[in-house]
Amino acid sequence: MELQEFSDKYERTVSEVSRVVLGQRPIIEHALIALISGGHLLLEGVPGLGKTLLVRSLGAVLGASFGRIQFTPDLMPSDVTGGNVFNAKSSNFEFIPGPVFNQLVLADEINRAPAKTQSALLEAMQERSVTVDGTTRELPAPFLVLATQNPIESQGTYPLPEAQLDRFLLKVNVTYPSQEVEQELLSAYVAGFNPQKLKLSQVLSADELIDMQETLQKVQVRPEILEYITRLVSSTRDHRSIDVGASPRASVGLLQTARAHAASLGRDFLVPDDVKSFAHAILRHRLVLHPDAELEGITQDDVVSSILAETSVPGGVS
Amino acid sequence: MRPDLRGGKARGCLFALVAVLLLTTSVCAAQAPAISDDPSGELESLPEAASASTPEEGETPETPASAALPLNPFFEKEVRDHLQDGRYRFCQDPNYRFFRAEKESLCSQVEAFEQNCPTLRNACQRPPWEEEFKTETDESSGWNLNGLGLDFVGVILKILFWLTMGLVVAYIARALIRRAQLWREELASETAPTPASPLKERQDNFPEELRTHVLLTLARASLDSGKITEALHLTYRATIRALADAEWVKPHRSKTSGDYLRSLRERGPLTPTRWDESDAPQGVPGAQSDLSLDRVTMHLRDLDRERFRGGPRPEKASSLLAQAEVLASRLSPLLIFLALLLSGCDRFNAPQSPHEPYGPRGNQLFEDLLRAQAPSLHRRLQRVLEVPEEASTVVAVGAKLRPLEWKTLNNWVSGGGHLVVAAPPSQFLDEFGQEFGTSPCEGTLTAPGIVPVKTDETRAFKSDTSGEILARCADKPFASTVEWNDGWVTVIADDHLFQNVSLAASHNASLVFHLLGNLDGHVEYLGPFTGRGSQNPLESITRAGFGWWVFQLLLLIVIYAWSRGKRLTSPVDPSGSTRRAFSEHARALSRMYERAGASGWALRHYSEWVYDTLRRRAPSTRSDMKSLTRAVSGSEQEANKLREALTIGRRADELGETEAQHHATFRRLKSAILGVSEVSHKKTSKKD
Repeated sequence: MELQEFSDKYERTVSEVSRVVLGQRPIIEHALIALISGGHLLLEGVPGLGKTLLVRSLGAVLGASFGRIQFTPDLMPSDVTGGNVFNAKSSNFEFIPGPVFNQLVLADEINRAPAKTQSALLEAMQERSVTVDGTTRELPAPFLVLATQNPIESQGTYPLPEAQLDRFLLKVNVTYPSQEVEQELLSAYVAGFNPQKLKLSQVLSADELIDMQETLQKVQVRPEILEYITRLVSSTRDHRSIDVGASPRASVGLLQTARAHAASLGRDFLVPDDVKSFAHAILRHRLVLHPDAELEGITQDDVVSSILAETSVPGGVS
Repeated sequence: MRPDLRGGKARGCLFALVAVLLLTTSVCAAQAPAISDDPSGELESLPEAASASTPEEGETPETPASAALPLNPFFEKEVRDHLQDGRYRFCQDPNYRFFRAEKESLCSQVEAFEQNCPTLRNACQRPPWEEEFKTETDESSGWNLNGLGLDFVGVILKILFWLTMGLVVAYIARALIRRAQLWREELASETAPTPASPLKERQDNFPEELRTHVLLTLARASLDSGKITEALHLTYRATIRALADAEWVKPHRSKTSGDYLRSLRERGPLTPTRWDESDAPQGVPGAQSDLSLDRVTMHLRDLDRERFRGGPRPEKASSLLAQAEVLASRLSPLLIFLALLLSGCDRFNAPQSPHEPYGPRGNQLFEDLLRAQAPSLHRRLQRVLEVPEEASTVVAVGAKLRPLEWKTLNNWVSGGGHLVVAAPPSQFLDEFGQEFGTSPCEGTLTAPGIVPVKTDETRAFKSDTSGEILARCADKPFASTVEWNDGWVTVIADDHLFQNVSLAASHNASLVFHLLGNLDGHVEYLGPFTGRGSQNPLESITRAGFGWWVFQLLLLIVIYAWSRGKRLTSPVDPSGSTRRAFSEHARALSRMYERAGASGWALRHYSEWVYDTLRRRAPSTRSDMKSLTRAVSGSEQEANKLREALTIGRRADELGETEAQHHATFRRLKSAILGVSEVSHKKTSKKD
């Protein structure tokens, strides 16, 4: 696929989803970038911000199958992956696939389920396959998990451990829309807008999506940009406020998302802006703060911002 | 187009000249006086100099310091020489203008001063300032709007004016400092390689913050040498530097083109545009005269494209360099300072305040004459908290001293000094006695051996003082000297005689120095300037009126620190939104207690928790400590150690043990808890 075509399809996909999910263009772009980069997305935000609608709409626009898992404290791993059920008619055990066997999976409130259930999903995300009773079954391609979790001060939650968080390519903090956007939304509803009844056109097919993933290879990356990415990620390992920094997986993720961003703009080369655009989303969930820093109110975003401000960009002023 | 390095220096010199001119005009405007600046509120007439005559022979007044000074040509010459200084405009400037009241008082006696002030007659023939501007004087604000009663508007305008002047001066000062820094860098960079010399590939060889034209020159050199990538990087840096010079962006090594463009758009959303070869500008955009944001955007994006896409093109690099040169020339700061030039103030037509040092009512001439007469003179700025040992005479003319300072002078005089006070203030009278009270006097000033001096509305003492009378006004004492313990005090009823215009008549100068007596040692000169300097920073703040502001600021800081809590004694919990988990919060708190040396307190709480946890987890039917510890321990010995640790731990803050002992107890308790967890886990696994 040519980069111009890539850019056009990207823009059309985002615009089409934006017809239904109003005022959340950055989230839509992050979801699409994650999909194109072959990663998964973690959204943190309160209910009512259109997360389910987003994934459902994305599935419609991409012509992809959609599955939703509502995580609760009593959710079992087999509720996620599926399991063998005895069929009395055929007297055989039949495998009933779980909701994870969809191309787009919404894992709602993932931090409400116990660690065992979380692991089942996270293993599927990593391996792109599910093993039940010794039989390994491949998950469909492309495969995107969009997980949501409540803000961390809520009671009765099981926070994802740091090692599991690393499996998510991007983490986005979803905030309330601005007053103007919310007013536009209400105006749209007054004018008869109904997201449930709105028909979305399919813009991309699964094959085209895979093609887009392969097109990323056409985006050239200069050695100084690679060095810049490496410096950014390695800075997280030495930062005074960080106990555990980002792994090389973060470097790869940053590279891939930056390439996807450049391609979405029709560019066949990477610039430092592409890297900076996704630094927060890539790094914020991979950093373990030092308790002292946490006590002082420092957040992961603050640390990433300070690292970005202290790291010289290639080709910039001295 | 090659940028001209010399042109940059010329612009810099011109800017410096303009800045100096502006600063000068600003300072002079700051000295623009109120129309009426007479502290007494009423201009008094000046003593008139009578015709010259010689003193009677043999008559020498018996002053403590010396014999009376007869009129002598010394003062005539001294006065004339000093008045040649062009700063005495009232004496030398034929275009000088008086204020009305001053004109009426002085010009009626112009004959007395003509000898030393040849232009005075011309100045007296010119209309006063008030007629020039057709405004009435208003002593309350100095800024009156044609008597319309809008005095408050005048006050507001006055404030706005000084505020604006302050901002202009501050801006110029800041620009001067920046220029100086850039000049130093340019001086350092003048040893940079010439265009013909080879340049290294790595672009970080160049010193930080080179000036725009230097970067452009280096970029041109790199391009000529075939180092395209380096030329592109230098062109980029030059572009950013040009934008920074115009204060459109603040450069930083961590900022990308996107960051700069965002700040140029005032942090609005940067909509990404399609990258298309056909969008790229071709050649030098010389025909386009606008410096628009879109052009800057396109220029930076083109630079990024060539820098970060493999295989930069020489012709494209040349085109971008030319664009950068055009951009830099358009953003020259000269335009800004030329605009400032148009707003400069005009010094030379500003009226001179009568009371400024070289004005008619000033005292500069007296000081100059005193400096010529005395072996050494010190113009005292600091408060008079002590008098130098070498001082033999202290002359106080119009000095506003505090009671403590008069007391200091009193002690010094009592020890053998000579104090001369003109127009004694009430604090002096309180310290030295009320016999020096004054009242108005009309008449002629007379002193033994001195030519009588006619005066209008001067002051004299109410009654004869206890000392020797040095001069009289009519029949009242005008100046006298009194023995004061081991020293002498010479008191002069008023200080008009010490003013410049008064001393312009040399006979007056003779009288004044006669009254001062013999100045044969170091002289301390006190005036209205005395005490304006501060002894310490606190006094300086108080004088500036900032004392209350500083106090409020300190109070705010204290309240803020109190609200945040002290780290070592009162740890402040983080807000709920930032706390991740209780365990991590507890861990962080424990570190704070550790820093506070509160290990005993922490151990006590931990021990209580361990005890409570063991009771809940341990498989024991009895809750006493012996049974409990036996239930969780593998042996009697272990149980005893655990019991001991629990007992000590629960009273850790009372027993006064060391931190190391606390840590040992803590470890023992921790292993006990972990052991219970292991036991519980094994039992659970067995059940599974």
